[in-house]
Amino acid sequence: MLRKTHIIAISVFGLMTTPAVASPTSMTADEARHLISRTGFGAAPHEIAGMIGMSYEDAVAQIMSGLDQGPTRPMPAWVDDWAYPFEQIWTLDQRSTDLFYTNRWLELEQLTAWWLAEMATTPSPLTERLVMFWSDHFANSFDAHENPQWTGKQNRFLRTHAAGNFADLADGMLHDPAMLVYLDNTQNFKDAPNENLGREFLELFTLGEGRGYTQDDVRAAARMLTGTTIQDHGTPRVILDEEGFDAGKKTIFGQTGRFDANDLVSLTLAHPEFGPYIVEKLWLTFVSDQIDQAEIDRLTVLWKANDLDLKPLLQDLFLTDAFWDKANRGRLVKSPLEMLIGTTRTFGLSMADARDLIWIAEELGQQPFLPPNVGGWPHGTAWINEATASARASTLTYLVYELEPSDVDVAPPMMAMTDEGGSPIVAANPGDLRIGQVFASYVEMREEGHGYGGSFTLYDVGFGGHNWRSISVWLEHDEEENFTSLFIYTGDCEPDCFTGFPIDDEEPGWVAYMPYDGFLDELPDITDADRALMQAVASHLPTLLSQTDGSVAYEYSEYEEPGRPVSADTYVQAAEIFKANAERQIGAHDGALVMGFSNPNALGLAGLEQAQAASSLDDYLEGRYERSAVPLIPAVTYADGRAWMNALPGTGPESARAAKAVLAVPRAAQGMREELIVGDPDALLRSLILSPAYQVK
Amino acid sequence: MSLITPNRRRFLSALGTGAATLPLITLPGFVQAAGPAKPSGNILILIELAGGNDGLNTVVPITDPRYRNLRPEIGIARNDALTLETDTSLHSAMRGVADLWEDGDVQIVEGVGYPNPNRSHFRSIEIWNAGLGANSIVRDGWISTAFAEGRAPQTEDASGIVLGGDMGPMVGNGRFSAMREEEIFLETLENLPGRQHAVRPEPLGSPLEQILATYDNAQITGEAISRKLEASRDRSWNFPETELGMQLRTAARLLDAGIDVPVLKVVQDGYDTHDAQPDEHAHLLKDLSEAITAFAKVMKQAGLWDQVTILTYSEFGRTARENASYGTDHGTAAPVFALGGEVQGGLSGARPSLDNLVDGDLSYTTDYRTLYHATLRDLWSIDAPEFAVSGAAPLRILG
Repeated sequence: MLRKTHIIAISVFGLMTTPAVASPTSMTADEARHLISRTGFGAAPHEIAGMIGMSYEDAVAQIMSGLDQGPTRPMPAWVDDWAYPFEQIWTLDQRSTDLFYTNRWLELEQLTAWWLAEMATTPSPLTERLVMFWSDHFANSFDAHENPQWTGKQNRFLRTHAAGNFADLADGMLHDPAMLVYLDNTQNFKDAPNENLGREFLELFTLGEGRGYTQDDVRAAARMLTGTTIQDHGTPRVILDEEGFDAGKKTIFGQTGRFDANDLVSLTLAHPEFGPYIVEKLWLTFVSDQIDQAEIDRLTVLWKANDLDLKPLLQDLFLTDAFWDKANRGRLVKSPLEMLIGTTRTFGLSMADARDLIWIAEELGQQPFLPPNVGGWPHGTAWINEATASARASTLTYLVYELEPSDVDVAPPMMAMTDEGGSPIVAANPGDLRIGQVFASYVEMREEGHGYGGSFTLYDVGFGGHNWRSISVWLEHDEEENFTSLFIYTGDCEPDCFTGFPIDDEEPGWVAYMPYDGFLDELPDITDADRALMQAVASHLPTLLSQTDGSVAYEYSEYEEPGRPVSADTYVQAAEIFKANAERQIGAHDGALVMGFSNPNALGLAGLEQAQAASSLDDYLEGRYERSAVPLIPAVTYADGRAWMNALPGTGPESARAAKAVLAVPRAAQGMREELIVGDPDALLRSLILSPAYQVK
Repeated sequence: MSLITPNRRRFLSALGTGAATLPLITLPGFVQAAGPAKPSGNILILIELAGGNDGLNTVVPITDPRYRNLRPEIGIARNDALTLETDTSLHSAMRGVADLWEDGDVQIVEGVGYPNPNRSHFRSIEIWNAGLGANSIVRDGWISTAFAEGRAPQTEDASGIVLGGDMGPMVGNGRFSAMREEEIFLETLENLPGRQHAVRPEPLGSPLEQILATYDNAQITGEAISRKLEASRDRSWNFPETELGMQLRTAARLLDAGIDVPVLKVVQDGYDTHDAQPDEHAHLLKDLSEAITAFAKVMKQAGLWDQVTILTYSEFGRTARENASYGTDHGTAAPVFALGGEVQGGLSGARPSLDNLVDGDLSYTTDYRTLYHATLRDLWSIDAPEFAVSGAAPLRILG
């Protein structure tokens, strides 16, 4: 029996009539189902009813009008928070570090649930199909970097350009931090180029395998991409590392020049053989498993005439004869997500927790954000073998009949997950110096005839009415000269701090702070605010650094992972000397030092207190999972199988109308069983959902 | 994310509990085996090393100064490798395989590749799967091709079962099945609609026809294996708890239960070591070696080791020269391991010269079709002229 769901709305379309003859000016129910499910996920009775009688052109225009609208629900807010302190978190204790990475995976789970819920409820399913298409095309696995902020921003980028211009997509993905890490371009330097990104850019992202490039072109592409990497201290930024970049001449596709990454995009997209590979992929996704070469050629010309804008191409694709040809019905195999989300939308299934869709998708081999390799997920009949056939049938049964429906009628617009508490927030006066956390990542201990000090990060800094993500410093005491200096690294300070020394994107800077007489004269650009911040940091430096006692750091001469616990005594002494010298020059800070955060998730350690108190991290996480359910409620739900049947448009035998609303092709004759299930909506629906024909569209 | 959520646990436990309860349909010609069942003939275990395994750091030309020049940073140190022969060492993570080598159960075929090498993961594995060279666009796998036209070994239950990855060498028509964990497979079959055919339909034609055939075939496979699984004990063996370990455990379980199938395929992923290769590669080879060793042990206990041949293969080897990120890029030829009780141990083929690099890559010395041809001949006396390469040096897999 179809599981009980709550009624949000009841279809009012049951009385509409179906025109007897199909024509481009007046769509039948079958054609409406075809267009809706081919450009989206399944088709609910009310969606079908709403499109009957429209012309092909109007219906396609309506479907395309939902593009560029942005998601209906906001992406989790942490996507745009400060970059998490990946580069320092390892200096804390083991459970904090474990929780930090666990939290990133839980955020991926939250992001995935957000996306699946968006797919299930959006009024523009075509948008989500295109975002899926591109995230499969430019395959990129979270596994490689574990940074959910990058994953979220990549998803936003793909949805912004999903039906935009391909040149923007290609260029953006060549400069996407997650992609640069996933395909090793952060390791691609001129002395011995790493070919991974260069090769896949040509083979998988643009030209297609065997289409107009050679191994020499791959090598040239890799050289053009040398030095395109990430500056990842603080907020990661994609930069060109001039030293790693091979500025020499390269020859690619028969052209020679001192080309770089930007040239790679323009030269590749101008290559005469570029185009058909992408158009074919769209054809195989939306039209048929049978390639019509003349149509591919025509569409490629049309696409290029539109400067690679995707909208005219898609519109034309949806209006080709082949798209509407009945011979192409049922020629495309549903991917697991199309099957799961399509079922959810078609039958209006609400669920108590959208996260259940994630593990179901994983059982079926298609977890969003975690493609199996750079080739993306399987396509077409490669999805189907004896193992997946049985898995599909059992997960469908589970989804439709066993999963708990939502017990609320309206899903909250935003999913709460970090109500787990987090870092303590404090409000500080503008004159006080507020610091969330101090990290020591590298220290030099006192040794005969050597300097000592180390590298430290003040994380989540508040002062003078501003909040900054982090300020890193290098403290050094030279015993022979008896001189102590502090270098302030401004590159990780977000928004800018020490505004007298603006950050150069390519070369984030250091401000040297050497408290000898008249040193300020050598910093003519220093502002009053900079000076006040320096004063505050100098005055509290010994207290701040003493907090890192016992944390894990690298030590000079023992530069090996994972570092070891350090004693703060030595560098606190250096800080005391520095403080005394600095205060002589610019006076003492007269405000207080306040320890606390501006945002509970600034460190990315939501739930730390509970995790520390729990007997094990797993124990804590199990409870947290239970508390973090994400209800999912489609736009229209149906009370039961009978209500769903009642919403079917058209006239005629109910079982035939139901089959036509769900299946692209007639299923095999059921014989005696057919007689038994007519009149029993639940049995009928079950037989439709589990029929082999349900696997195609 | 492999969090086992409460609902997922319920779903899996609903599948995993109790004996399989498939209706057993006696098909025409089905003969119930008397006594404990046993696979009838030779068994090929295919292990796909997905991503492109670095052959040079697996079977190491340890004394070759050119190797040192090509691999200054990531080369395997002499005292950190397992000596097989004077000039040949094995990566130190493969201790179990080295022990099998000492028993004479391992043959290493060197320099296996094909003319006009393709460096795309996806195209090159297609070429390996089809077995007909770089210019062929035949989609069928080499096992399917070899078993066509009545040449398939006469086995009761299936001609091949894929336990990991895609159908690969078994794409095409024939009695080829796929499953993951065997009990879950049997349980999930119950959700399939009743089948339409009494005997295995060929998965031909449109996608829908392929799905229809697959639905029926899954049930036919299930019926074939469930009786034998029920009649034998599921033993607790000590396999690595890795993807590969779990797949080889399933393989061992099927064979120990007497499932009569000549080919099983598993996959181990992760060999695309473009950067920071040394630790990652050691980790992969350790998993590979331990899983193979565990499997060999079970096969010996079951009295099947002499029927088994394990063959490892990868879409390509990697560049001879390391890159600046302590890794290697897509290359060409690489060694293939053959392991089994009747395998003729030792080195075979010829080592590609490090002086004779083409485009910076190794030149193959053994055409992979020769390997397929010899395997089919030695295991099942199949003469498959499709894979014969004229003028190729003879290769013998079984002793």
